[in-house]
Parts: sequence; structure tokens; C-alpha cells
Amino acid sequence: MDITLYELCNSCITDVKGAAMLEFYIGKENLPKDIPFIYDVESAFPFVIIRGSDFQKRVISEIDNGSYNNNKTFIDRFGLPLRYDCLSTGSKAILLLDSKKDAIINMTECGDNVLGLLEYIEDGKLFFSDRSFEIPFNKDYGVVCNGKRLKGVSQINYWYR
Amino acid sequence: MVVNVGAIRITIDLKPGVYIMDNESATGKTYLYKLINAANASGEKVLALTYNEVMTYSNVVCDLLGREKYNFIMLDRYDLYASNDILNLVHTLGCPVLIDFKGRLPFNFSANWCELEFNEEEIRLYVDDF
Repeated sequence: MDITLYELCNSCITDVKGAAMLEFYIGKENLPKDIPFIYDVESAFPFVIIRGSDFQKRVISEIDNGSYNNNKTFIDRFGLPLRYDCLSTGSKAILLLDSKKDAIINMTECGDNVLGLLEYIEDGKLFFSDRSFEIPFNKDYGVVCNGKRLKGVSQINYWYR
Repeated sequence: MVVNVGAIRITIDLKPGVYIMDNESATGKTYLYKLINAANASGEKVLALTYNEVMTYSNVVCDLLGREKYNFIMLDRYDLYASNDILNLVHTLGCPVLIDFKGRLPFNFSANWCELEFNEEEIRLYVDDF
């Protein structure tokens, strides 16, 4: 008997709630009402504390082509010190995701280069307005999409499209 | 078209039409938005809108876009205020319109790709024919 891709993905899914993992919410209609939702990451970014963790340094380096300087400034691609509010919106979104685990972060504005760094985040809640994004890596565990447990990130790329 | 903002030169090598860019972060789009905003404040016929302004002006964004004849318009962070009304309007504006958009465009919406490059002295928008 032939099996469709939809059925194959569905066979891998179980309901999950409350576990520590990457939680994807796609479409506003799927947002839970009991979890804070940060729609405008630029407005919320001042609440992120930059301490120079390995992940924060990686974001500054790989996305903005800069380097960590201190907890108030980074060195930009031209060698000038800038405040962290001059980081790109995508960098702000993923730094917010890394630091604020109790809220859903709007990642719709993130480019493919930012989404690639999700590989280094084990725990967080992400929102995308539609299914146009693609996660550029596969991760075989700890992924939930719209409240359903998936076998890996690749299922989001192929099934939620 | 060349617009100077302080010591920074903005060069827009684009014909009238709607433009989008590669789906990457940190390519300089919001930097361009800030420069265009500064140029607008100094009287240049260019306009840049972002999420906060659209929220402030609410449903009059279309009026704002169509109110004057601009030489260049940029819609920064368009994902946050995407609307069919705006998309229907942008093709009628008669100037280059750059949309910072990472989501999915409507099936029947056409746009051109453009590139942005910048250094300490200049930021340039152009179409890479190759």
C-alpha cells in the first residue's frame, strides 16, 4: 500500500507539552493564549543582557561580521565600536530567543543565516507568520510544532509547507 | 540617483519598480532605512517606513505612500505589517520601491531582485545582471 508524505509525518507525531525543546508556532491562529508573545523583537531587545557567552559571540561574529567588545558594545565589520541596538534585527531575534525562554519570539524577520544558528539552541519558543521559511539543518530530537512532537526539524521543512 | 547624508553617499541604481533582496539578515537594510529617513528629514524626495511608523499612522500608510511623488521608497520590516493594500499600491508609485520582506509573496505578485553593498563611505543599491 502506498503511503503519502503527510501520512508518514503524521505517524511520527505525538502530543507533547511542557518539555524543554524547540517549540515552533506557525501562523497566528496557532499561538497559545497563556504564553507571552513578543511580536516586535526590536522593542524587546533592550531586555537582553549581553555577557559575552559563546553563543552571543557566535551570533555577533557570524551574522553581523563583528566581534564582542564588552557588555555594552561590539566591534562592527569596519572596526568601530557600536551599541548592541545597532545589531541586525535577525541577530536581535535569536539573542532574544536564547535569553527569554518563557516567551514566544517572532522569528519571521530572520534570514536564512540566522535560522542556521538555531542548531545551537536547545530550548526556546519560535513564531513564524507562515510556512515560507526553511531550517537549514536537521535535528533529530526535541522539536515541537504547533503543539505536536516531530521527529526532527526536517519534518517542519517538508510537512509544514 | 545619489543622496548624501552627512559623509555617507547613498547610490540607488534602480529603475522604477518593486524590488526585494536575498533572504539574509545583516545585509544593511535597516542601516539603509536609517539613512533614507535622515535624507527625508533633510528634504530629499525619498521615503522610508518601518513597523513603528506604520503602527503610528495605522491605516493611512497607503495615503502616506501616495501623497507625494518620491524618487525612492523603502518599506523596512515589511513582514510585520504585510497587507494586500500596500502590495496593490507599490506597483503604481512610479519609482523604485524596496521591500524588506522574508515571508512568502502572493502568487501573483512580481518583484525584481536587487543587491545592497556598503562600506564606511557609501551604501549602494543595484541590480546584479550576472
